[in-house]
Formats: sequence, C-alpha cells, structure tokens
Amino acid sequence: MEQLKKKRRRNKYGLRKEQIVFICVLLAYPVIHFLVTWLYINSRTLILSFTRYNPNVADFQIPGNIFYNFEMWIDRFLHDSKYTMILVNSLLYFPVSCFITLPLSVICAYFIFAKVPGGTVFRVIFFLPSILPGVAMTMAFRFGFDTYGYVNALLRHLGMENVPVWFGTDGLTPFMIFFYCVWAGIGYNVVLMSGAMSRVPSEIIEYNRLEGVGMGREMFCIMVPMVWPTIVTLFTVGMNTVLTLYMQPYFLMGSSTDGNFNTGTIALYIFGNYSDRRQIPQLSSFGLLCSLFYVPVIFLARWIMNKFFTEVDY
Amino acid sequence: METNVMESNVADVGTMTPEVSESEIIESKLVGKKLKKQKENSPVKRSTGQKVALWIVCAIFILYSVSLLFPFAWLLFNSFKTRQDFLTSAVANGGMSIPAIFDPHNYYEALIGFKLTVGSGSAVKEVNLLQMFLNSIILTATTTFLEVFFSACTAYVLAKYNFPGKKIIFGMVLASMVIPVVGTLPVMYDFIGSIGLMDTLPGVWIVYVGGFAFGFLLLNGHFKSLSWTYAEAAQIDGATSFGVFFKIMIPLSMPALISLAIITAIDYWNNFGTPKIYLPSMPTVAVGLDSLMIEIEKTSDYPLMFACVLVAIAPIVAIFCCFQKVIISNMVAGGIKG
Repeated sequence: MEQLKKKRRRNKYGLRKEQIVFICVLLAYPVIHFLVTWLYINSRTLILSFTRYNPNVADFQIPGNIFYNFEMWIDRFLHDSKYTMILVNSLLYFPVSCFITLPLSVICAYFIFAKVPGGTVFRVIFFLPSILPGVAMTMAFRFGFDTYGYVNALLRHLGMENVPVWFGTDGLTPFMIFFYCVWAGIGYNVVLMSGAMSRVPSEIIEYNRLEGVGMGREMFCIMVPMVWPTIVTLFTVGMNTVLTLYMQPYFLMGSSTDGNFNTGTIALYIFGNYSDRRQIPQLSSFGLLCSLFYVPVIFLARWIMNKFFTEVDY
Repeated sequence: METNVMESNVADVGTMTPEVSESEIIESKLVGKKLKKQKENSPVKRSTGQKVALWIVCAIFILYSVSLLFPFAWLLFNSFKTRQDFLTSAVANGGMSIPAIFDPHNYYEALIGFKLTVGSGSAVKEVNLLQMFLNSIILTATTTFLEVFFSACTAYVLAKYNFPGKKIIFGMVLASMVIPVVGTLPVMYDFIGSIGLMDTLPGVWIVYVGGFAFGFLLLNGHFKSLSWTYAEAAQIDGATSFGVFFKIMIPLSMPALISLAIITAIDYWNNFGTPKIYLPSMPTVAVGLDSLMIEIEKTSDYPLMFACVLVAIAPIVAIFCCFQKVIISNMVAGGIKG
C-alpha cells in the first residue's frame, strides 16, 4: 500500500515532487540567464537592426525602408575603402588561424607527443601566452619591434641601416599583427592537440612503428585522422576569429579602436562604438550582416571537414 | 585506479559506501605505475634519423621558447633602470644591457605611487595597481565561484536526471556555444544600463556567469562518470536530492571543481573587455594596466611601465607555476572532441 502511494507520487519520468523542485531550483538561474542574455539580447539585436535612432524622441523607430541599415552597410563595404578594408582584414584572420597557426600547432603537438627532448617543458612554455593578460603579452612583443627595441638593435648590428617601422605602415602593420597572432596563438592549440594525441591507443602507434612507419607517415596518416574531430573543432574556433578578434589589433596599435594602418576588424569596429546608443541599429545590422554571410560558411566548412575522415571511438 | 580513489573519497563521506582495503589501493597503484613504466619503455626504438630529426625539432622549439621568454627577461632587466638609463641604452643597443644598479624604485612606484583617475563627476577617485589587484581578486573570486557553482548545478542535473525539456536545455547549451554572435555588445551594454546595473558587480556577474559554458562541458562528462550507487545508498539513508548533491556529489567532485576554478579564474583575471565596458570605476589589473600604459607612455617613463607589467603578471605566473600540472592536464583532459 505504501509502495503504491509512492508510485502515485512519481510522474512518468519517475521523478518525485522533491526531485522536481530540486531540478527546477538548480536550473532556474542558468535557464533564466540564457533566456535573458542570449535569447532576449539576440532577438532585440535582430529587431533593432531594422530600426533607426530618432534623436527627437530619443528612441528607435522603424523607417520606411526597413532594410536601410543593411543597404547602407553593403554600400559601405563595396564603395568605402575603410569598411572594405575592415572586411578584408577580418577575413584574412581565417587563413592565418586555420592554415598557419593550426597546422603549426598540429606539427608541434605531434613532436611533443613523439617525445622530443624536453617536450613537457616546451608544452608549459608554449602555453604561457594563453595565461598572461593580453595587454602584457602584446606590450612585451611590441617593445621588441619598437624603433629602439631589441629586434631593430639586432638588425642594425647585422648591418641593416634602414630598419623597418614595424608598427606604422599600411603594409607591414597588419602583417605584424598576423605574426603576433601566430606567435602567441600556437601554444593553446598545442596543449589541446597533444591532449587529443595522448589518447590515441599506444598499441596502434607501436604496431605501426614495428611495421617501419616513419614519423611523417605517423603524423599525417595516423595521428591526423585519429585526432581529426579535435582539428575540426579548432578549425571552427579559428574561423570564428574573423568575427570575434579585436584584442590583438587594439593593444598592438596602442589601445586604439581606429583601425589605423589597415588593422581594423569587425569586432574592433563594434568594440570602438558600443557606448553610443544612437549607433545601436547600425552596429546590430553590421554584426547581423556579417554573421548572416559568415556563419553558414563556418557550418559548411565544418560539414565538409567532417566528411574527410570517419570518427573513430577509442 | 580512478575508481579506487573515488571510493576512498566516498569512504569519508558516510557509511553507505563500499569499503576498499588499503592493500587493494596500494596494489592498484603499483599496477598503474608498472603499466606507465611499460609504456615509457616501449620496445620500438627510434632510428638514428628520427633521433636527429627530434633533436632538430628540439632546437627549433628552444628558439621559439626563447622568443616567448626573452621579451619578459628584457622587461625585467629594463624595469630596474632609470628613465634616462633606459633611453640611453635603448638608443645604444636596444636596451640589451644589464642595469648598473638594480633599483626597485619603479616597483614601489608601480604598486603604490602611480595612480589612475577613474570615474566621473563626484565619483572621481584615484586607484593604484594595488587597488586594481584588490578589484581583480574580488571580481575573479566572486565570478569564479558563481561560474563553477552554476556550471556544477546545470551539469549535474543534466547528467543524472531525466526530465521533460532536457533536450531543449541541451539545445540551449549548443546554441550558446556553437552560434557565434556578433553585434550584440551595444544591445547588452544598453540593457545592463537600463536595469541600473552599469558599473556594479552584479552587472558584471550577469554578463559573465551563466552555467552553459566550457565548465558545463567539463563537469557534465565528470558527473556522468560518477556512479549513481552513492546517491542511491544515501537516499536509502533518507538523504534528499539536495543532500545528495551538496553532501556527496560536490565533495566527490572537488578535484574537478578546483581544476575548473583555476582555469576559470585565470580566464577572468585576464579578461579585458567585460570589466572595461561594464565596470569602469573598478578597474581590474588587466583593464588598469592598459590605462596605465597610456598614461605612462605620455611621460616616456618606460621602466615604470615595464615594472607595472611585471607586477601585474607576477601572481598569474606564480599560480601557473604552482598549478601548471593541474592546469595543463585539465586542458588536455577537457581537450575538445567534435
């Protein structure tokens, strides 16, 4: 009889009332937080992107042409070199992250996995840029390339008379920021990649080594396919930098959001203008337009990459 | 191995757990060590060519490591120089000289002397690096605690319970992680201002702390691997779901929670954008350092700037040195897959 009563108190998921209360209490904040900071904020961004700020009423109003902001941005991207450069510059972070930093990270991780002498120490050192504040890391880097920094001193010592101005020309400055991104960005990927590689069963590695497989084949024909899901994820993260990267150009250009010397990015532009309420519709439509074109590309790239190798459980 | 450690932890929690003899634990530890040794002494030896290749790679790695560490050594040496000494040596040899006298004055000035003016109107105040440290500690400690707690709540419930809407919540997690959102910053800024939480800690908590982020992924896997028999045994003894969670599951998960807390704390300590935007009157080290750089650059007192940077990174480097195994192994263990 007592058991029957207990059964009646449970719902079809086998949960008691006390358990339902427990679940609700524990999930209350995270769910509310998601609904407010993700769903509401994104929905509001979407809605505001179709509006214009009316200074007379100090509020947002829907104009006659609801696509006004989007048309303005397309026009700017096509005809205003400043915005074209922001777009091009942002897109260049895709090859930098995915085709330079990531392959270098895979190679470094493989050699750490292959027990290069001092591998554990190298892994710790490589990870260091990931734990230091961006402002400290960028400053340490930038001072080296200053007019009277140690890099230029070394170049002068080697006989170069006209040392370059690394952070002050249209051609060289963006290149220096890309270089910084690679230089400081490898370590984080190396740690994640070497973690994925260490989970590959040692029997597979030993069998192949007994068969006489060399290091090149071991890396490209065994390790890369085995850790492919991690590579795909890091590739996706790398693609995201096109939309999200702003810290590196901001700090390396002396805490400036102007994007001088072709260093502007999509995220830097938004970061530089966020506090101006009048610009919310413009910035919302700017972000939305970029996401609209680029997010499908990310998903497509991920889908294509997942076709390369079949995921193996081990 | 892992099971035994887990069981020995549980033995401290209550009487409902299976007992594990000490000899069993020692035996399993020995087996583990033996396996590790076997793995290290692999019968397959590298050829000479491969050994040479590894040494060449080692040399390249040394060069790269030097390139990462040298700038900080350069900052360290130059931070002990006077402004004039530094400018002279910079022009002469790019600052590549050891200071004649190691004068710690710049460090004193960096910590206490140099002040930054923040706030506006009647709320204007001056803060030095020491106060920025305090701000960073307050912000990092509170946000880390909340983030780890809410991540644990979400991860535990989704790992251990079946309930209507579970798939929807998983969908929320995926949506918040997978879809890159651009352009919402001005709307978020406007929202936090409109609810009156701009320049307050709760405002930053709302922006920062969720429960569906990286911590969720890490802890969800962890809670899934925890045996439910502990909970069942506790429930027979009359424990409620809250009791099971707070008195058994949380203590059992302490190593995972601490690891997550360390990684999260480093992330929050270094975060620049969020405190810069939402907490302008309470500059953290990362934010204040940026403002200090701008101020000091006007006076060209570069050694002071270097001292500020080194003081600012010292705690994080110390924590990294103490917990590098935990941090690296967790990054490795939590290594993303798919």
